[in-house]
Amino acid sequence: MGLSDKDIALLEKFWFGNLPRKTRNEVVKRLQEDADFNREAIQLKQTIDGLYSLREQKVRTYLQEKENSLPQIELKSERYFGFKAKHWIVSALIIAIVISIIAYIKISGSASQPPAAIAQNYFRPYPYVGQTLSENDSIAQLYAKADYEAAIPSLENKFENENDTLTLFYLGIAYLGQNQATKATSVFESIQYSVEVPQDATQWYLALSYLQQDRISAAIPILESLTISEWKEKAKAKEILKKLESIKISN
Amino acid sequence: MTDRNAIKLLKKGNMEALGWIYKKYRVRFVQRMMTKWSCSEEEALEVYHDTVIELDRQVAIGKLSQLWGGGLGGWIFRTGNNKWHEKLRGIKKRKEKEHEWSWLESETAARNDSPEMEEIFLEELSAGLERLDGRCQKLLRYYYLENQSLKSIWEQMQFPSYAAAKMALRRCRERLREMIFSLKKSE
Repeated sequence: MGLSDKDIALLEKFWFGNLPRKTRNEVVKRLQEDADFNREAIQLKQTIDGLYSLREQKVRTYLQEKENSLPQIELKSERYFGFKAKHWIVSALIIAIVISIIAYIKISGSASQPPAAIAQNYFRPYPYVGQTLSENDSIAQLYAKADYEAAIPSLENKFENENDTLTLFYLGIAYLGQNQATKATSVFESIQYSVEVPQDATQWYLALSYLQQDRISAAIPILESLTISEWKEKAKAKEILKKLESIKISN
Repeated sequence: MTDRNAIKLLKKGNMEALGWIYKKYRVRFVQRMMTKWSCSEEEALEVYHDTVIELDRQVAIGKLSQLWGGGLGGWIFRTGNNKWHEKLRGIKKRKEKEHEWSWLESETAARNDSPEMEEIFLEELSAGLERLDGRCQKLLRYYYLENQSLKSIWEQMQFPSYAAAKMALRRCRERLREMIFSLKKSE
């Protein structure tokens, strides 16, 4: 009888599972009920499988020839062990690197400087400018030499006599240089809104004096406002904020 | 050559591309199989052959158009693992949709169960193929034995259309079936 083109197309779809359920059920029913169709379908399937098997035979022969032409696979125990050992070494190295990084972060975090030390590190005296302090002035010379111990009484005296805000500003710096944070803080707090002193610098020294007293929460807003100001040293404020952040994390 | 190029060439029936893939993954596959499954080199190579043949078959039926998860190497190692498990479980190498056939009680269906019978059937099939007319023979050889796509056959054999090539393939296959099984019947 033979399978029609339509039958063959239908069977191909059936074998590949590409038929909708209804049509699939119809094919199954027909295979069950029509013995000739059943037999011919099986024969066709066998023919198709056989054709693929012929290809498989061809490929198998080709691969066998290929295998014969290739050098033998080295399976010496040393090399085998070496192959595995290489992976172990790489894995161990990766683990060691990761542990080192974690340890470094931990150590650098825990070993972060206390705020007072940060303040000390970042403290630089403001250059003496203006009319009140001249190059010839002995106070100015003491200040320039960072001899704050000697400069402080002279500056206090000068301020008492002249009541000059700029003198007070330098006095605050001298206090800070001499680690007299409480005095420095009260000086800078009193002059922080004065127009007679450089305002950004005053804010900066006030923040440092807070840090010397471990008053981080008081220092942070000042430093933050400095980072967005026009102040030429604002990068330093950013650096300190970063350090303070790591202190907060490690705590 | 890259894996992608090799697959492209294999789709065109290029056996050399298959040889290139075989060579590329051979050592790594055998070593990995031996370490992972503690099998012998012969067993690992046997599984590797089956895996590469499966690759060829998947490309032939158009089921390996894209490679996911580790590219071709990943596919080979995954399929190799499955083949190894199949081997352990004693499953037949050719995995068909057996459930579609399980209820078909037929003498013919059971005929090729043994490897010897399958061998005889393949000889009959080859002989049948030889007896087909030249055009049919060429068409079936190109499509099944050389893994060429129907599109390339359509161009090569100058069929008026792709559909005509597809139809011719079906008819030639049907003619081959009739030839083999009518001969069997007459025997």
